[in-house]
Amino acid sequence: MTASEPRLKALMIQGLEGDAAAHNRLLGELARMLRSYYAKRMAGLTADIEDLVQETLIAVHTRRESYDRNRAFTAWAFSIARYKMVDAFRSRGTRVAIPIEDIDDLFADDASDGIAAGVAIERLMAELPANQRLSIQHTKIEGLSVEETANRTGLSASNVKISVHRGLKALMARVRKGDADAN
Amino acid sequence: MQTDQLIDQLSQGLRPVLRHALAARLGIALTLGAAAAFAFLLATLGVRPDFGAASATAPFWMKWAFTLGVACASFLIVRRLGQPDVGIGWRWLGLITPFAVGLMMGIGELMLAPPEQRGALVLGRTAPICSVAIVGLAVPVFAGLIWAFGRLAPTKPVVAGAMAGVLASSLAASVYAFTCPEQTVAFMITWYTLGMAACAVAGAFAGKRWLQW
Repeated sequence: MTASEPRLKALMIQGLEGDAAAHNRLLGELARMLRSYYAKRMAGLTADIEDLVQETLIAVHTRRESYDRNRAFTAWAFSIARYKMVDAFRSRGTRVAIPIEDIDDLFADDASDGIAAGVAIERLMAELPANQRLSIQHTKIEGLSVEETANRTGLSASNVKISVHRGLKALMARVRKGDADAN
Repeated sequence: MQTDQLIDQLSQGLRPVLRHALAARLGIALTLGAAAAFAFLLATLGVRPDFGAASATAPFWMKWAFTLGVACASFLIVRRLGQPDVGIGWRWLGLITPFAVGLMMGIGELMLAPPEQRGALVLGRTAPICSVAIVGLAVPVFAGLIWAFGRLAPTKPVVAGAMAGVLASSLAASVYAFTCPEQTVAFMITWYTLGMAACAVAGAFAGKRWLQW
C-alpha cells in the first residue's frame, strides 16, 4: 500500500480537479486492491466481495469531498473500506462468520500503520550513505534487478550487492537501537 | 453489473471538487438552516421589544459569546467527524470551555446575589419556553447538516449525529438570543444548555438512523 500511495494520491487529486480518465484509473486500481483486502478478511464469501468492492467504490466516489488533500490517500480510502466491511458484517449478520484471527484486523489501522512504518523507514534510509540508500531503494523498494540498479547508479553489480547488504545491516541495527531506546 | 462498467459510469461527466468543499458544504447547510430558523423566529416570537436598549448591556452580548463559542468549537469537531480517517483529538476541550466559563460565571452570579433571589435568577420569566424554542429552531439547521453528511464519510454515525445536534442547537440558541429577554448568565447556562443537551441526545438517535451509509 505504501509503495502505491504517491501514485494513487496523484490520481485522486487529478480526479478532484475534474480529470475523468485519472478518476477512472484510480477506481480501477482501488477495485483490485479492495478485492484482495476483502478476500483476506472475508474468507469464503466470493460473491459478497464483489458487491462490497462496488459499494466501496461508490462511497469513495460520492463521498470524495471528505478527502483532505493534505493527508494520505490510502489511509482515507481504506478507512472507508473498513467502515464498509464492518457494515457488511453487521447487516449480513449470521451469514458471515468473522475468522477469529482477523478480528484484530477489523480494528487495526493497517493502512496508516503501513504509512507510518514507511515514513520511519524513509527517515532511517536518509541517514545511510548515498550508494547504500540508492541500492536498497532500487532493489528492495522499486523491485529492480541488480543489473538495472547498477546501470542506474553507475555502481558495479558487485558493489550494488555489497551496498544492499551493508545498508540493510545498518538499517537493522538502527531499528534495533530505536526499539531499545523506546523500551 | 460488472465492476468495470460501474467504474466507467462513475467517471462519466466527472465534476471537479473544490479544495475546501467539505467546509463549504457545511457552511451552506448552516447558513440556510440558520436563515430558516431566523425567519421562523420572526414569524412566531419576534425580536425582543427592547432590543436596542438591551444591546448596550453586557449580558446581552454574553449570550452570543456563549452560543457562538459553542458553535465554533462544535463546527471544528463536526468537520473532523465528516472525514473517515481522522479523530477529533483535543478539540473537545474547546467545546467544554464555553460551558465551563458560563458555569463559573453563573455560580459567581448566584453567590453574589441575596439567597432569596437566587431561584429567580435561574428561572427568569421565560424558562418554560427557552429550551423548547431552542430545540424547535435547531430542526432546520440539523436537517441541513444531515444533508451535508450525505456527501461526507462519518464513520461514527452516532457521535456525528450528537455533535451535529450540538452544532445545530448552538446556532439555534444564537438565533433565539434575538428574542430572549433574560439578562442573567445563570439562566442562560441552565436553559440554553438543557436545549443543547436535548438536541445532542436526539441527534445521536437521528445519526444512528440517518447517518449510516
